[in-house]
Amino acid sequence: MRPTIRTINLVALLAAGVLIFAISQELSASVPLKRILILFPYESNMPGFISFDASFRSTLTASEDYHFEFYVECMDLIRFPDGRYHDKLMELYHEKYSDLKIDLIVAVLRPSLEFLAEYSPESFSKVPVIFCDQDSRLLGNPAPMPVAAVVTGRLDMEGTLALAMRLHPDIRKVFVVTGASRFDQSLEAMAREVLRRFESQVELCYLSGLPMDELIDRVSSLTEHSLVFYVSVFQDGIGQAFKSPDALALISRRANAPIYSISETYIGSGIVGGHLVSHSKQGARTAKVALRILSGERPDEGEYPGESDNVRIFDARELKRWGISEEDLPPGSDVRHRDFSVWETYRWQTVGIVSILIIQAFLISALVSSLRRQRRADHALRDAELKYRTVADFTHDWEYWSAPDGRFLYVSPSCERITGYSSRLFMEDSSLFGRIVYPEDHEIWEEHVRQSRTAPKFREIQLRIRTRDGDIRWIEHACRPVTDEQGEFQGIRAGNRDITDRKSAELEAQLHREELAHVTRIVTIGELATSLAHEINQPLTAILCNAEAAQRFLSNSTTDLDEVRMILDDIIQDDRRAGEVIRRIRTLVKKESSRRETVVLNDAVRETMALVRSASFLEGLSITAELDSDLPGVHGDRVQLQQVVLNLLLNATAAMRDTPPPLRKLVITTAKQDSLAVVVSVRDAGTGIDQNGMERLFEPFYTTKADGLGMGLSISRTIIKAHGGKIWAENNREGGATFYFSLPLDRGEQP
Amino acid sequence: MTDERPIVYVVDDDPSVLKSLERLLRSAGYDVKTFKSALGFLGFLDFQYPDAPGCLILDVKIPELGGLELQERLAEREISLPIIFITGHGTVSMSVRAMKAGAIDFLQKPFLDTDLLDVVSRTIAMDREAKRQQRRLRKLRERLRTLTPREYEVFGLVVTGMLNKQIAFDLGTAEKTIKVHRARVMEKLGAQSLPDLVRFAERLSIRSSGV
Repeated sequence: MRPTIRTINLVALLAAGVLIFAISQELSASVPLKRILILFPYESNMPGFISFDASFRSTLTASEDYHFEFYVECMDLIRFPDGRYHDKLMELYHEKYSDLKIDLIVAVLRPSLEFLAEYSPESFSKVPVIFCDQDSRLLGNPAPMPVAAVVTGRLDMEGTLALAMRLHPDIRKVFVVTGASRFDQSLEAMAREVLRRFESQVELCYLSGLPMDELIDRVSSLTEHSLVFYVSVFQDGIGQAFKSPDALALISRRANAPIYSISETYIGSGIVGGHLVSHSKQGARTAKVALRILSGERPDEGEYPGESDNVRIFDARELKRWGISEEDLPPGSDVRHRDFSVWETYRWQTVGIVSILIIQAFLISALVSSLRRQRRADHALRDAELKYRTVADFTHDWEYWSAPDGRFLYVSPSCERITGYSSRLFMEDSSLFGRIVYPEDHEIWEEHVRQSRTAPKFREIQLRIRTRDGDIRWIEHACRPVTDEQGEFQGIRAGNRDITDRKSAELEAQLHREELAHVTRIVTIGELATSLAHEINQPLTAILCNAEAAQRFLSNSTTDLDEVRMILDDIIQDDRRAGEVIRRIRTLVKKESSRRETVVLNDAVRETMALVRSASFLEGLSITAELDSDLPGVHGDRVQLQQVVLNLLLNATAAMRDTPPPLRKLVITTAKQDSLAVVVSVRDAGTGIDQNGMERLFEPFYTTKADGLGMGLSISRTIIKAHGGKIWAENNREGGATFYFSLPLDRGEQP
Repeated sequence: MTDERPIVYVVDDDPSVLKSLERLLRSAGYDVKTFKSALGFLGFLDFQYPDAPGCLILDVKIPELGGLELQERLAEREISLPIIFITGHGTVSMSVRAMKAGAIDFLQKPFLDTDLLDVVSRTIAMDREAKRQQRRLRKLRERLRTLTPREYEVFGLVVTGMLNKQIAFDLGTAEKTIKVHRARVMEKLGAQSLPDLVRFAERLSIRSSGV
């Protein structure tokens, strides 16, 4: 696509080029070329010359008879009056234009003509010259050289002053400013000549040939009702050369009175205006003369003066500066440098800008109201933020929110109270929590973290931490997953409560309970002493008898060694049996801190029954066990649970003391209560429990036994409650009572 | 006949104690019969009366039927078997009751072999003597059963020290007849003299039958 466009463009360009070339060829073929050299004594940027040159050229090129080439030399003769420069310059021009056939020379202003007259080379001798000046009165006599035509204007000093006086009716003094150059002096002379007729109306003061500084001083401190009539300053009193418009600008800037002058050149340099020589008109007129000369007409030394070239021109800025209304100006005045009203100058731009401004205003007001809403929302947000932060920051517990990657998004300052570490430390180091967990509880914590990640839900654990001071504190950690509105996992919100006090109270209570349980166990064992002695005596007796028998066998002449071997086996067996009894007793008597494990209740019951077997023999009662073979395990302290069974068995035994021996029956059962618990029962055929007893059964120190402590059932209840179970008693319909206790099943995790 | 092998009976519910006692007694040369319960022993006695001299070693504290109860049952059945009680732990009241009921001894477990064996041998010797006496008495009773009612009457009066004349008077018969009865009694009972007769009468617990 692009190459195609490029190609088309290229083709179009080539075509245009060929066409233009063809046309120009045709033009040059049909229209004769005329070369015109314009000489100007000053620099090229004199405003008067620029307008002269422009209108001269445009007038000529408008003619269809010729094709023109213009050569302009701004010779800067005034600033460089040295003759050698003039020589070199002419040499240059000779060199420059020797190969060209110049058809016409226009010498602007007298210095140009003088230069041409003095240095004119051979090559220019046949070329017709048009001399152009502002005023015919400046031509002087004699003319420096013969010319084809003279085109002059008229410097209308009197017209200008009259105009100025009309605009400033109360004027009393007119300061005429002229320079020190020859040309300045000639103009001054002209001024003195023509302005003489105004002396009756105003006082004319000539500021002629002053040094620039002094001149500026003078015009800056003029009396009221004065005006300045600027003629020209090409050179000041101390020989400094100026471009006259520049000198005017220097003066005007400081002048405290309006300045009028005579040439269009000065418009824009600080004059109010005047009846000025129009250089553009002069240029156009010169062009017409040039055409006549080129067409062969020879108005030998013909002069073309033109009053009509003058125009009333004003500078709007100066009018404004001096408070002159444009309405006071004569009709047809040309007001230049007018600051057109914004509307006039930039109508469409204004419309655009205003529209943009309106739109902008709308946008801004919308923005402002949105900002205000935003600010209100921000304020509400800040309030809410403050509210929630206050809620969070002032919690007693240590609260936090951690991101899914474990980073802390928020940690309440209360963490410092509990851990000694500031919330900043937690925020900076997400592994800090894990590190302060007490080594023994590490496993609990790791497991908890793992579970929280894999299956987020509400969880609660208790663990110990080591504070910054090295203390150990118990905290209860409860956490739940955070999800956003889309249900996306956003981390974990957790609260940590310092439960050290509660925990130590619990531990103390547990110690007390263990202590009490231990004491009551010892008492119970004491009650069982007879029975236990029997349990140990039996194997001891067997051992002794066996050993003695062996001795006798061995002393006999015919020793049956097989017999002796069997005896020794039995001795070992009985010794083990005795040891087992002692072990059981020691287990019950030993003081050990509570240890939770999975307990097979049936085994615990059987072992306890073994302990009281002898006792039951002594009491002449029979014990039957009905144990559920599918009984699930429970979580608890084996010794303490055995203690409960033992208490119940001994209580049942005691309750049947008055029952006739054949009826002394004790039945112990284990069974599943439901899917959550197991129940153990001990049924006796004793006296039963009366109403008062039923109510006070589990109270400490309540006993019906003469030698009872009243602690057995009380401690049993404490133990069962600590295991999350229940203990109760009922009277049997057929007599006697049954004690029950239930325990929650071991689920591997505490409910 | 008199040197019959003694038998020791043991009743204890504890198998290992029972077995060890059996070994100990066997090592001392006794024949031993062991029973795990009182009822088992009573069952045995239904078939076989313990003729041979012997003794019963009985654990006081055995299930179902206790040692003391067994002692009572044996007395009821008039089975004379001296009982040595053993116990794991006995109470004073228990031992008093046993001794009153005729127990020979009350041994506390564990006991020395010599203690037990001494008691056992003493008891067996005693039982052997008792058994001999019983056998004599049984023979005497068998002879006594051969007496006619008149002869039994005469025997009863003779041992009171009455003269034939007095006896004849009492019975309303002739002195000569009494003399014949007296000779028949002495012959049937195997008595050589009047003192023999009196001793027999005492042994048979015969007092004046007339009273």
